[in-house]
This record gives sequence, C-alpha cells and structure tokens, in this order.
Amino acid sequence: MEEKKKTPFLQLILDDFMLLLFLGVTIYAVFYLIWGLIELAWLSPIPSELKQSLIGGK
Amino acid sequence: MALLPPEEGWYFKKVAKDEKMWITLALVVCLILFFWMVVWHIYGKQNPSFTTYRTTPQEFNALATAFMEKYKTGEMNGIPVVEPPPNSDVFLVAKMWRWEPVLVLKKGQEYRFHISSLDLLHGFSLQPVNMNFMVYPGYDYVLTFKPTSAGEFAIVCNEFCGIGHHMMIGKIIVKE
Repeated sequence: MEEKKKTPFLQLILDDFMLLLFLGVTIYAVFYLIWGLIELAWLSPIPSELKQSLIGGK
Repeated sequence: MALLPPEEGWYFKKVAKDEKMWITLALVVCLILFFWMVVWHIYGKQNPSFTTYRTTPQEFNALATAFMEKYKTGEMNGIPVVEPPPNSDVFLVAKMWRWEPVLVLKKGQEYRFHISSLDLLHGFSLQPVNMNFMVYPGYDYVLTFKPTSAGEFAIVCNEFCGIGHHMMIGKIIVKE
C-alpha cells in the first residue's frame, strides 16, 4: 500500500498560481508604494529655528 | 497550457546539475549587487544620507530670498552671488530655467545645502563630480557638502524640465 506523502508547504505555494499573482503584486505594493507613502507622510516641516534665523518673526 | 496544474510529483524531481549551477550563479550575482549598494554608499559616496523636510514653493522661495539678501556680495548675469559663512545653511533654488544663487564657498568647510524647486521636477548634477540628485517642489532636500578642491563647478539640470532645460546651468565657486 502506498503512503500518501504530505505535500511540502513550498510546493503548495508554488502550485497555486493565483496566490503567486497576489504575492507578486502585494509584496511590491507594500515595500515600494506603501513604505514610500508612509515615509512621505512622516516628513516634518522645516525647523522653525531655521525659519526664524532667516525671516525673523514672519 | 500554462494554466494547467503541474504534473504530479514535480517538486521531488531531481534538478539537473546545470540548472542548479545557473540558479546558484544568478543568486550569487544578485546578492553581490545588493550588498554592493552598501559599499557604494560608504566608499563611493553615492545615495548619501540626507534629511528631507516638507515645504511649499512659496515658503522655500521666501527662505531662499532672505538667505540671498543676507549674504549677497554681487551679481552675475542677473543672478545673485552669495557667500555664506562656513557650517551654515545654504539655500539653492531650482526653477525654470535657472539655479539661484551663485554660491561662493570655502574649501574644506561644511555647508548644509537646502535644495528645492519652485515649479516642477529638476535634477541637480554637480559637474564634473559624480553627484546627482532629484529636486522636487514641495520638499526641501538637505545635504551636507564639503568642497574638497577649489575652482568653479557647474550645476547642470539633468531632469528634463522644458524648452530651456539645456540652458539651466548654475555655478558654485570654491575658494582656497
């Protein structure tokens, strides 16, 4: 009698082409687009001390 | 057809020696190029560390104008010539189609350059040094520069910005 081999986890991923499509889009969207947008959102304005030193109280 | 599932037991099939070698070589090249980016940052002074502030073209223009008025020493072809003190904040404005001001710096001294654009995307390319940066409106890109040799250096716009793009050349003069 043949024992049914347990399918390796990596094979399950590589066999599922829709999952591969999803990962191919999501991984790049997160690491390039979303990470970049988060970095831009966290930018601070020019320090007020620097502005004060140049244009005083304006 | 590519959309049919692969044949049963494909995962456990023996991979040919040349395919393994091909994959290994490609992986090694990828890893070398990946870590070489760190080497270029440290030894090649590429992708320098920087600070970015959010600003507006109006705010940056006001700060740059105040900076130019404070340290102005003359004019060159209608563009202010400015000599800021060492270790200070220097404002460089990119706009269609000129760089303002002309900077006079001292060799061996550090300056914090604030670079931004008043209208659209420009490129800062310091000639003949291998330094190139993108200049965006709405963002103040702060880089620390230290001139290491005296002379006149041109700033060329290397991001196409319209009909006058090829004439957008600025100047940095470094004194001993």
